[in-house]
Amino acid sequence: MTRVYRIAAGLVGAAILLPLIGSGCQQSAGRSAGAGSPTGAEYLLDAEPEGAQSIVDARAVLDMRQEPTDIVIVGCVSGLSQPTWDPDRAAFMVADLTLANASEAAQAEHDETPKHDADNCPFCRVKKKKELSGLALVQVVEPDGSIPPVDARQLLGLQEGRTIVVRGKGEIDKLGTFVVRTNGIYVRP
Amino acid sequence: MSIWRIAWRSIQQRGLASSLTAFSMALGVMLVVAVLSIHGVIQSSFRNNANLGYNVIVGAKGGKLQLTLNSVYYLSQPIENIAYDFYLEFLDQAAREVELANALRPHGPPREGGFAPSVEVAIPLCLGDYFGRFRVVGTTPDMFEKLHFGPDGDRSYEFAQGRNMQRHSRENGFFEAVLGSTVAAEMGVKLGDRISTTHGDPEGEGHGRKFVVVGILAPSGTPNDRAAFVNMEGFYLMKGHAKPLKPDDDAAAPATGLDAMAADASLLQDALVGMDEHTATFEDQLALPALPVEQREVTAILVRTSSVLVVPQLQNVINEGNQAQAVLPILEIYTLFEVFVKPVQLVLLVLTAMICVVSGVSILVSIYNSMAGRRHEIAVMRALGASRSTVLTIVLVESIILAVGGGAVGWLLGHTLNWLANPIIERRTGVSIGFFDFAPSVNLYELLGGTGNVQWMAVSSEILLIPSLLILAVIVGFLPALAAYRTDVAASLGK
Repeated sequence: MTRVYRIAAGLVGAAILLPLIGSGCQQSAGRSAGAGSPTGAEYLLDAEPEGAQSIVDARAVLDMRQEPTDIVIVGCVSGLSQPTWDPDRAAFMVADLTLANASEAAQAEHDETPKHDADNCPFCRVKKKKELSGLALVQVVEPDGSIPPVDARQLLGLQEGRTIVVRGKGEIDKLGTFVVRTNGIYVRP
Repeated sequence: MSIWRIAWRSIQQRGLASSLTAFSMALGVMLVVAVLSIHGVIQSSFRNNANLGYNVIVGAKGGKLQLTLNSVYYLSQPIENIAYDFYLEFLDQAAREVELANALRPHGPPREGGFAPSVEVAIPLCLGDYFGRFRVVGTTPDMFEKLHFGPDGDRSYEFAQGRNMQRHSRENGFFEAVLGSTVAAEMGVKLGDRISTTHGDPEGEGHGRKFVVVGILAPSGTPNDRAAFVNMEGFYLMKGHAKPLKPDDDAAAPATGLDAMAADASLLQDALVGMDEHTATFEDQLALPALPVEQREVTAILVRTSSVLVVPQLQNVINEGNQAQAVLPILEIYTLFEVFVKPVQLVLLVLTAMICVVSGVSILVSIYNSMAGRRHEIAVMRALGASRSTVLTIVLVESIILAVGGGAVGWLLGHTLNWLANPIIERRTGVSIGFFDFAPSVNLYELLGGTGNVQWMAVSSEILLIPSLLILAVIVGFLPALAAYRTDVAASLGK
């Protein structure tokens, strides 16, 4: 009788393996972060600028001044629960370090199932508002003021989660977004 | 003689019963293939429509899904209208000045809209009317000039006939229309025809105003194939589409004769030419001036932002206000797909899989019933030197041939069905299915509970039919195979 089971098991095993053999292999689409392009190197600083403020503190200063001001901020490359990168231009989000550290714990509590409507959840709205006030939109600008039409990951070799110091002109735009137009970024080791 | 040949001969021996058994399996597999193909078509259709060239929809506060359904798919009823002034906040200074040129009262010094720096394109939609069973969409020519569609958002709208509508033309005034391909075909409308719409319902009161069809869109596979687009300026000039001026609006306006007429809640444009829209000729329509901005509203605004990174803040600011809501159509479409469409498809798939299982049981019954008559034949094989396991394998192979053979016929039938239905599917959804197009992939790694991006384990769900049929064949063939295995040679030879 054991032979009976062995034959049946063999046929079942062959049946399971068959589609894997037939399907063929494809290369993984995973892409490692680039080391930055030669043109992007001009935006990277060798030494950390002095006087870096947190994003929350810098926002408070800009809220009072209401005009573009020279600032230096420190933050974590992250959009928290929002998108981090603009794939079409050299712009990305930086989060206040305190929020970035708290984000992982909060993420575990956050219900992200499709049925959960974060926009109509009062708790999520408060969280989102808090998140947005701790985020800065960093735009890399060329001398003529334009933003290079290339993803910052490719241009600067940046990765999500890295702590960076950004030097540039900061302002709070009409929507309340903290925008930093920069040509100098220092990536902390 | 090989085991496969012996099994095949055995099937031939009971030709009719075997054919019917295999045919029942073929029907089951055909249904599975059809359901998987429908799943693929819906998925492709959703994917195509998820990128219509805008990433935010702004509309009246209410259901987010409802706003998405009536702005993207022209389904369901519009929630409400939003103020035209709110729409003007999405325009840059030059565009605002053009819009405010016919305002009844001053709107302050020239400025750009509050949302304008974050906005690349803003297209207004006015919904509410029907042309036959199709939605009428009042919009601007930008709808077909600035919006692109397709999975990569790189396809432009093309005109099978004619041209795009204009904001104002000398020959048609504000009354030009562009029809989606399905609308033109189904309603039998040609270029140059004058069409009228009905108010609020396909069977509703007919409007007297006529729109000239100046363009017919080439099939795009988007919901725009199933809509009739009219110039928004002309849309406002139809009866019941102008917002009556409130006393405070009137008070704010300079005291002119025009304001007084508007304040009486009569239609300003009709009052100006002293006519009713049902009695007016098309030439009378051409004399109508544009509706003042104070009397305008829009149902929704399709917005393409300057960057994906400004979307959260834009959405937050709009949603915090009390005038409108901003929704992300891709997210709503994804939710609709995940929460409503996928479970229905899963139920259909389970039902069709059950049909395959029932067909498998019929294989079991067919082979098992034949066992009584085959005892002598099995005993002879054993006497000639075949081992018990050889006999068992022959019966299992017989079961596999019936299941897989029936499955192969079912696959062919299913794909033939797809191929035959392709013209209808393509016309209705814009998704084309060829004979050899397989159902969408499923990732076996994720199916087995793994997380991560292991792409080489992604196979078409149709490929999974092969192991499924083999497993089913082995399971259903096992009982008769066991009966064959246990056949008493001496007793069976003696009969």
